Amino acid sequence: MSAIYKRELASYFRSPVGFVALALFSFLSGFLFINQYRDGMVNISTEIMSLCSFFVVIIPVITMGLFAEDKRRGTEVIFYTNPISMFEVVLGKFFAAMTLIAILFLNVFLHMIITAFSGGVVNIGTWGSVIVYFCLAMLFTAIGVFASSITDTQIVSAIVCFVMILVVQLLETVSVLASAGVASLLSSSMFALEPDKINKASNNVAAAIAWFSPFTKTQDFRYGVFSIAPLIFCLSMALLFLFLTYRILEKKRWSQK
Amino acid sequence: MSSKDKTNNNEASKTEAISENKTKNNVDVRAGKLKLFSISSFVILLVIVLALNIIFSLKINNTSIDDYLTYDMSSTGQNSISDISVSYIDSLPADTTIRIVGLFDRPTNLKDTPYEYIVPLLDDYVSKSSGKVTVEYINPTKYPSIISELDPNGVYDLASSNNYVVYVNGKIIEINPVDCFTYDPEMLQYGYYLPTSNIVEQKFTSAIVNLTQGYTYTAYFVTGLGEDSHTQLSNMLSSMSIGSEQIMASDNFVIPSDCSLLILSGINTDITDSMSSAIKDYLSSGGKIIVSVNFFSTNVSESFPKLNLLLSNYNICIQNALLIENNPGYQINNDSYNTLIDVNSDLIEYTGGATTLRNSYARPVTAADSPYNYVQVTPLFATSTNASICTYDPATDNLIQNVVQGQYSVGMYATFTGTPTPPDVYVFGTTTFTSDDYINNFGFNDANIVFTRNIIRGMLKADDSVFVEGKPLSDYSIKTEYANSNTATVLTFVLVAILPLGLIIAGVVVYNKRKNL
Amino acid sequence: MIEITNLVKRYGDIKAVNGISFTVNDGEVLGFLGPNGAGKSTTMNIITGYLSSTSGSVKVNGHDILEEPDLAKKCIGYLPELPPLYFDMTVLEYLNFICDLKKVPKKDRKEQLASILSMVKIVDMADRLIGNLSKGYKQRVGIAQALVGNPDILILDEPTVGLDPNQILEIRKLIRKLAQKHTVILSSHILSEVQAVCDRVVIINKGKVAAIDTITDLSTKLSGSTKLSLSFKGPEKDVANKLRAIPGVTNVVSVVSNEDTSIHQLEITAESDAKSDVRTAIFYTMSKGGWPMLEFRSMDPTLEEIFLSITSA
Repeated sequence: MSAIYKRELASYFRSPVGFVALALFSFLSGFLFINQYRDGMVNISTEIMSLCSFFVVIIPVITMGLFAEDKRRGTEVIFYTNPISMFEVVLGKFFAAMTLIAILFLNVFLHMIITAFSGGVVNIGTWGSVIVYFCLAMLFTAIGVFASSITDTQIVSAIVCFVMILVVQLLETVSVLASAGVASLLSSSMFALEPDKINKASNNVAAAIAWFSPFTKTQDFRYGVFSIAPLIFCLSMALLFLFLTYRILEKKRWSQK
Repeated sequence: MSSKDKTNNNEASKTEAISENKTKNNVDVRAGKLKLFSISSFVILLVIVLALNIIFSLKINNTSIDDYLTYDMSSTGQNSISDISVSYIDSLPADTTIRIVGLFDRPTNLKDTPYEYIVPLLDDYVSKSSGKVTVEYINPTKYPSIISELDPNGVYDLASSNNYVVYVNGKIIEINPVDCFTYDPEMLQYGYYLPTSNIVEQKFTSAIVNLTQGYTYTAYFVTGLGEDSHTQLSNMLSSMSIGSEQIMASDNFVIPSDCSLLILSGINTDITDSMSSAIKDYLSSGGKIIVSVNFFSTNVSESFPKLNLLLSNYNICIQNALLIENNPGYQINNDSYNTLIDVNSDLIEYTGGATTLRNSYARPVTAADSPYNYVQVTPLFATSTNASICTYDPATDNLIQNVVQGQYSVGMYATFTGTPTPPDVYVFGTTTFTSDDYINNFGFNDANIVFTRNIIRGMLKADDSVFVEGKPLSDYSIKTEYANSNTATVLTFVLVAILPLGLIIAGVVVYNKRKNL
Repeated sequence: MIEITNLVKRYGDIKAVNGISFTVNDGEVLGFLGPNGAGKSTTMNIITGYLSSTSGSVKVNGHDILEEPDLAKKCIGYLPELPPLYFDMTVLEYLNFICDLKKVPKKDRKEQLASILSMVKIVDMADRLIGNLSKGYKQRVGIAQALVGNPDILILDEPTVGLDPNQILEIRKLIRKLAQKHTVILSSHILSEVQAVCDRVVIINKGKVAAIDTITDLSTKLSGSTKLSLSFKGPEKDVANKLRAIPGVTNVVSVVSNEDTSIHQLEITAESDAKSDVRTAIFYTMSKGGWPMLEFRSMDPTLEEIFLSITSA
């Protein structure tokens, strides 16, 4: 695993890609930070949450090449013909991407130091946001790794990853729309249910869809209210996607096609 | 060797026919097994992951495992009461009973409602008060007798209020859940209640303190002069055991005898003659007054002649002009009207250490030309030496700027020497020390508000040891001395320009180095 | 040792590999020969565990590639048709990465890499970017990659394809050198290459094994007789008749005849068992007749001929 990890991480910085990503991220986060600083109020949690909504762009860029590029260049042979488990390969690449995300995040640590120095608030809620950031990053990176393993074109992988993260980000909105849809469907002449039941049904639909949203689950962390279940949700879902990726890559060993 | 191979070859060709038959329909069973293993292992993991997460969020009796595994580690403890409240309740006699009654059914769905921060916090009062505090939820439509039990004289309109009532020894204080938060004033304009800080504990603890101790002082807010609302300031006073009352501005204005502090907060129109004399009488017997005005579109043409006449007795003059700060080191976000002001270095202990405070659309408040030397004035805050002023010209409806730059005072304190009952007069040329807008924006822990709290404490010798600060949902102000445009510009330059550019250059250097390897 | 039994690989209805069986013995160099699309690369990919087989088994040193993939893969160094190179790494970075992958102990690494670099002659290129290397050097880095970890078996898929003649010669030399220490499987569609370096040849065509043997045995087996070519000065008919009279000679055909210079060329077919006898007999017959022999050589069929006859059959 360490072999893959080292190579992937170094490869981000062998080309200008890693530096450009770092520069863009530091510009973006710096901009968000300065905008708050100018007004004399700095809430690092707000900055981190804004950065979380940029995952939809950042993660696909970081993960799109992980497997797609190996497939395109034929270098994936190395993984299949050497005595190394495919799961180690998946984990190595996953952790390399996570490390890059952590390196990007150093910018925010810099902002935290500036804030603390300026007498602003860096409290447990800030650290809660940091935890949320990394949990969400793990989940989305796992999705990105998965998207990269199902295609040999970086662009396709990026688009798949983008759409998947977008859907996750919009789950809350989707849940509202879905519940409205269910309500209008049930109140139509076809079913003509009592309003009580319609309300219950549409609320349940909304709750069921919103249940999958990691954003809803982790929203209290920024106030310093920690809870184990959302972390387990993010980590277990990340593991699920990594395992699925592993299985997809392993498929080559037995596939009849 | 060759003959051996020949036989091998023959054997191979013999078996080939058989194996071909076999493989036509059947593929390698091992591949099938691996496929089965692959799919089933994923399905099993999927089921385990989903089951695990569902178990966590499954609700039994309105609580889930998730709720047990939730830890409130916030420094402000949104859902747990502070040591200040705990130690105050501990200090009460053991037989004290404090009833907190919610006049509605216990809310079940707390998420995204004000009760999210109220219900768990009240439960925390119960668990940390060793039996002195009880919390009940009684719906008066089901049990109407609760109203007469709490309010036998029918003074309050409790029946339809949906409020909390804190009850100690026959005295009650009503608390509306909506009032337990400060709200973003900008959003409030559009009708949205966006909470910025949580003052649930402040509300309930001050209610408990005031019910058990009684108010020590009463502050009177003068109303009817287009003044700012004073909800948050009243909250703060209440937490210092100072009750809040109102007196209407009128031609037969009388200051009640129990008035310990008179507050004219952000008035927009001048006082009346009778007020002027009433206030002068009040101050001459050792009264205390806080006046705050600003220069804004609502009062540009108001020069407060009667107020100034009154204040001239205390050698203070409020100028009818708008301060312009030209020094970027004092500007907040490049704005010459929202600026920083230096605190008089003798008063830094009042601000909790901050050397600069915030100021917005201020009028200069300067010493007048009083000949009496028993009047002592102290400037409170000053602009930079590069400030200028502009005045309103009613003829053209324009502001005329005076280009001469200098240092201006934004607040004055006056008192008398040599009298047994000296008055205390605080005049602010800005409303950033008193207004609801400001407190809503920056919270109770902001240096400006800390300053106000400390001068009130200094005047009234009020005890605010049981003051529970607002729990910031978003009080994130940085120290005002860093919040100026100069620092912001330097930081912008470093974070948004130099750092990204440096990284790009590093990338180009590495790329060029490696490209030609 | 690699044992391949009844290997089948189907892509839909097409059988890319259709029941291939052969054994590679320790220490030999096996040529894997066939026209483009015969299933060479597919077979090699299956042996190395990169592709799955529809049925059949591959055992590497006794380890089944499907059941004990790690143990089997440990024994193999593989150079695929397209060398799996990261163009953004330098040669040394890349080989170090492969060392990491194959878990070569840190203390042996420097020594091993140095010997590999010098063996494939890329010492000067060690710090250069792989993307900037010429095709020949890239191929060598690919071979170096396969050598890392000192595997028992080297599987090289078309190692000389696309190289210039000089590079081809050098790579062949290298393979012969490697053959001293490793079992080598070498695929090619270039016959001379296989002829030049291999002990044994597996010829496959359309997914099936067409022939397995040593090259000399193959040629003999194919023809069952020896052909000789003879140029001489003298009367063509007389000579031909005399030669036909020699026991063992089955046929004599005129190839070139020039009556003006009376220089002729004959093709003599003889039973292969009697080969040596026939040649002495021919010599004495010619010298007795006083006809000077200008050229006398054996006409063993080339691999090309064998190959053509096998694959077109």
